[in-house]
Amino acid sequence: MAYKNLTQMTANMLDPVRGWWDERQLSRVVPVSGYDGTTATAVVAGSVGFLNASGQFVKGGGASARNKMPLFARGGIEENDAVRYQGNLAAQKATQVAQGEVGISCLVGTGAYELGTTEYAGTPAAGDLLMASTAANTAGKVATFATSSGTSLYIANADAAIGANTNQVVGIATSGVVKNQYGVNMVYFYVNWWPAI
Amino acid sequence: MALEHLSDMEKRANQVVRQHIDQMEFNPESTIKVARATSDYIRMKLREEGFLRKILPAQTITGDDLTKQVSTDKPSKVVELEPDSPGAMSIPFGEFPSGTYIYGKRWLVTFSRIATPMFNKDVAELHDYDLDIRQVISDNALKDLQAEEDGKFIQTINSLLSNDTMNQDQSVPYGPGGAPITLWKTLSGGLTRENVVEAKKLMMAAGARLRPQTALVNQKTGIEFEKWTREEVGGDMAQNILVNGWASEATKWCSLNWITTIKDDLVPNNSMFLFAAPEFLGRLYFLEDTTMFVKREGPMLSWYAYEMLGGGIANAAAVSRVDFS
Repeated sequence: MAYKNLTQMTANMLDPVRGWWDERQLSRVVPVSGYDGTTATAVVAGSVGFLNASGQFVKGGGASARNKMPLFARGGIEENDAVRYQGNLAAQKATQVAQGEVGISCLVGTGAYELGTTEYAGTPAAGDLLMASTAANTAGKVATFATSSGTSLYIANADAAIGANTNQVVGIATSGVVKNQYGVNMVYFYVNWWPAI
Repeated sequence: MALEHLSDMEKRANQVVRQHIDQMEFNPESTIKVARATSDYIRMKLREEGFLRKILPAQTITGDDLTKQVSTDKPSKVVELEPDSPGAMSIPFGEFPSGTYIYGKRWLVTFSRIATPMFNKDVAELHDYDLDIRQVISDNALKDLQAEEDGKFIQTINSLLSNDTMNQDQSVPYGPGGAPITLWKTLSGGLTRENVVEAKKLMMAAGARLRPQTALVNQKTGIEFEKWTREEVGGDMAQNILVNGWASEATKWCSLNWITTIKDDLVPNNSMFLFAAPEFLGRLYFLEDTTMFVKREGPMLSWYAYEMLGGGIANAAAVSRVDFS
């Protein structure tokens, strides 16, 4: 007989192993762009994204993310402190977003943090430069320059003559894929932002 | 709570802050005294002035009252809602009623923390203000908390009444025929006696047939009632309203309890929100009562207020809104 697994709170996580928390921490609470109450449009804990012009979190990389400050989601938009179930007061008056969510807590990509995330693509190794994957099926995950699950190149290397640094780096891996204490695969990294100038 | 008592609390809070603010760096007891005095004052003031707490009476709960879930450790509470019944039927002799298996609806209450910004100030500069220190510390916090509490409440109501995509399920009110109905209407002709009666009837059109008990308007809308003449009001009430003002004369008006607010950014001009009795409307739980955190590090004073609440509208048929045009 098949077993049905329960989704545990450890399935998706951002684990700030160094540098968090402090009342002066560099973090930001943002609503999620395009979230319509469906899981397909949701953002889970550990995802990487960036702040768009409307002050909302956009999951993943892509050309529009070029040189935008990366954000790492500490919680998911469908968690109880962010989403609003029918009739609940959880919505935040200040944001007044149509979806009514409070927003997710994110650590900012210039902060002095070492983070662990369940949201990665491929098999990064310690020392690898991490970027935000641009592949649709791994959006919101950190990845190395070219992983089996898709390139993390932000834009086509049109400036090949200059060559260096056309890809935005969001972190440097401090581990490969390792299981955490809950048996969930994680990748650990120092937050480190290199703009693609 | 009498207003004199509130004034006493304000004076006491100010006295405690003045007395202990310079000692906070050396004496932890002084920090506790300042935090406690300002917390008490803010709590009382929120109860007096915020409209959310007047419409949904607050219940303080503890961690033991929460409902654990597998997928999260963020606090939540499952509230059982009154089950519906398909209704009785007339049957011929020798016949038996058809069966129905009973289920109950449940409502998930999630909790969120409200916090003011963390205010920071050098104590030396704080002493340079003529206005009392307590006012600087706690009144900003109070305004922020109130705006967020009441703002969340109004946003929730507007969202429910506009049947937005986040609420397309059992929270949508249904009419007696089973079709979804809208309990947010615009009535032309202004704030007339006839329109107020029509507004009261709106909630009764839902299948639950609830009666509104409380009305919420902003003070500019409320003052419109002073235009009602003797023909509309009758007796000496029209004269009393003209002399004393509507707010002081009409504690009970059109068989409703009235709450007026200055927050016209939340309750627009010429809009009226109507609520059924709290037991039909929803719940308001406080898992953390309003608390003022105060800290002094060297010459720097830091403070913020926070609270944790959950609840809202469990029954969308128990609230309606009318805009008078």
